[in-house]
Amino acid sequence: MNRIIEILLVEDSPADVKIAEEAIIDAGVNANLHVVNDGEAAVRYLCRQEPYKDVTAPDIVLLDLNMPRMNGHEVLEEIRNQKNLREIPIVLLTASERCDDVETAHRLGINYYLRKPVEGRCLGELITAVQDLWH
Amino acid sequence: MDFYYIFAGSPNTPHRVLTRLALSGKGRVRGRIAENSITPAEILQVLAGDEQWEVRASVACNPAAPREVVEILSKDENADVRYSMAECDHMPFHVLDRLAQDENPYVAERAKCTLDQLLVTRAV
Repeated sequence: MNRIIEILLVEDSPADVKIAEEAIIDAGVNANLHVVNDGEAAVRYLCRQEPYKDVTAPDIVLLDLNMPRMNGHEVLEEIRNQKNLREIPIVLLTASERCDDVETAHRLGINYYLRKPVEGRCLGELITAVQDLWH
Repeated sequence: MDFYYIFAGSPNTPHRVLTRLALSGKGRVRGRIAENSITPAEILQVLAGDEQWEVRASVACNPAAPREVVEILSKDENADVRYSMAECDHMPFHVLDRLAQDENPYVAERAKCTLDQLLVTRAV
């Protein structure tokens, strides 16, 4: 894998950000990780609104479910309703044991979900497949 | 985890990604695309000519398969493809009727059973 993959991590928990960072390192993927801490910031980032006007568009979004302001489902709905963001690959990160949380996310258009804590090898395989197929 | 297989079967995978996956060397992945209800007709058309009978059978039984593809596959040289179609209760009546006359007795018998079940369901 030569090209650097741009990953947007939408996560409010610093501990979970750390775990995801370590998983990406363990995965051995060549990645730039960008982190925003709530759903509203994620939508602004993806729509390139202030203060994210000059950011690089992410190749994949890792989206936490439970967040302040806008939760993962609301972010997902917002993203999928925008034509230019409809195809961006989104992976839901969740510690939720509730099947309906995942089902709702599927209905709203996630491409996959990973249970927390995220494991490096699995994340690496997922990112490799996304990079190969979407880009 | 085979993410190629997972994406091939997902209703949220974009069409252009399904197209790329359809060119995959893995029959298992192509078969999964052939089953996916959102797979576009033009990809199903290509997969209808797949070298692996399992892929062709999945196309034949996909409710999204174009009518002309179903017609062609109902005359597939492989009896397993025709048998798969004979099991499908969403197959058009005239296709099941034809399969009920199939040269292979297992295919014919299976198509007759499916037709009988459909007639009972309709009667109820």
